[in-house]
Amino acid sequence: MVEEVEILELVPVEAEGAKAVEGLPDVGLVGAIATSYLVDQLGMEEVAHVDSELLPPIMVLHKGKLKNPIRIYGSRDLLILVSEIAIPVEALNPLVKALAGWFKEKGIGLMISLGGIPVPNRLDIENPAVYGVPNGEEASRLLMNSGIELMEEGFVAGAYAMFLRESMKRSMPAVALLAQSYLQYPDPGAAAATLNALGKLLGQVFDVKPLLDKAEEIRIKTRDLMKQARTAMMGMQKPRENEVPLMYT
Amino acid sequence: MWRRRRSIFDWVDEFFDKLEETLFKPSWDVEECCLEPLIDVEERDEYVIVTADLPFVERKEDIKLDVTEDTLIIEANMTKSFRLERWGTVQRDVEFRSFRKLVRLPTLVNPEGAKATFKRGMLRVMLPKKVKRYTIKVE
Repeated sequence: MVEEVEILELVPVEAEGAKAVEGLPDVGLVGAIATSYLVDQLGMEEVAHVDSELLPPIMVLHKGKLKNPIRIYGSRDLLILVSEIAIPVEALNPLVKALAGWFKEKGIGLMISLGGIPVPNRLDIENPAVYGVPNGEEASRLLMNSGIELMEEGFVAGAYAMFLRESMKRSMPAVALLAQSYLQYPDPGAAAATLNALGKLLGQVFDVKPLLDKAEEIRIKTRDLMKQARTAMMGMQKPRENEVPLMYT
Repeated sequence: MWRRRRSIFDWVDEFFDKLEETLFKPSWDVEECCLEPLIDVEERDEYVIVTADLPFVERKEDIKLDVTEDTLIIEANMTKSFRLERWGTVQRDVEFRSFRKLVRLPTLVNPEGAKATFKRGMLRVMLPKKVKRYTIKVE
């Protein structure tokens, strides 16, 4: 039987106890900007890519080399999932299930999603706050011990919500780190905020100054990806994140 | 909330604009050396609010806005030109120096009442809607 989504390893991947970070294109492209910057900053090598007929027929060229648009970069302690295309809503569930399954198989110790929470007054916010969403007690303790404030009530929607769910089903601790951001515009400032929070979680410091210095260039380069992500977000019921849950206590 | 009744021609125009934008039209123009900015159009009770992301535009004096009852044209010059030397084919040779976008508004507005602000690279244009409002007394 042909799988709907395949994770194809370029080299044997051994990641027992490692952390996995994902930043699929979403609100403000926060996760996408953060993960692609992190890969570059840490000089990571590609270890796998994602293949599926559910995805649009797109490949990407970098330095003359043809690459799949959804790729996993890795070192012994860290795997990073990067996507250069917005994920169509019909592909999201199978994609996240396949990735969560693969991360579990590799023995990942913690799944981390980087993303944004849209706020209407983002223009007036100099330093976006970051909130954590855990998928269980262990994840909750990790966030609290790192000094990251938890989101307590509300809806979460999109790729990171699916990663939290699929990790929970596989008894894998997972957190989402969500920075206050623009909804419709690429937000390198929010991406930098999530990387600072990720550093607290992992006990290391990531240098975000180069990211902030190139913020305007990033805003131009990511215009088209942001347009794709806007369309995809409507199908993911992102507006539900503004609603109060029925059983709010 | 009152809306101007849209004619079939408005729907057709909008459909082909979106089709062109989605399928054919890149977000850059090599002849004019300009880029199309990301914009958002929000219709509220009294206003249409158009925002635009304008990176590398630093001064409000570099922005030109022309508004009619149903369109807004945004033009802005960048302080620093932008070029990606290894990207694509024709566009790799271009230094982009400005932004330009024609925005079709969802309803008629009053151009004379329009106001605009520019902060940290974000343009915000508030366009009062051209509506006649009546108060209804509840018996």
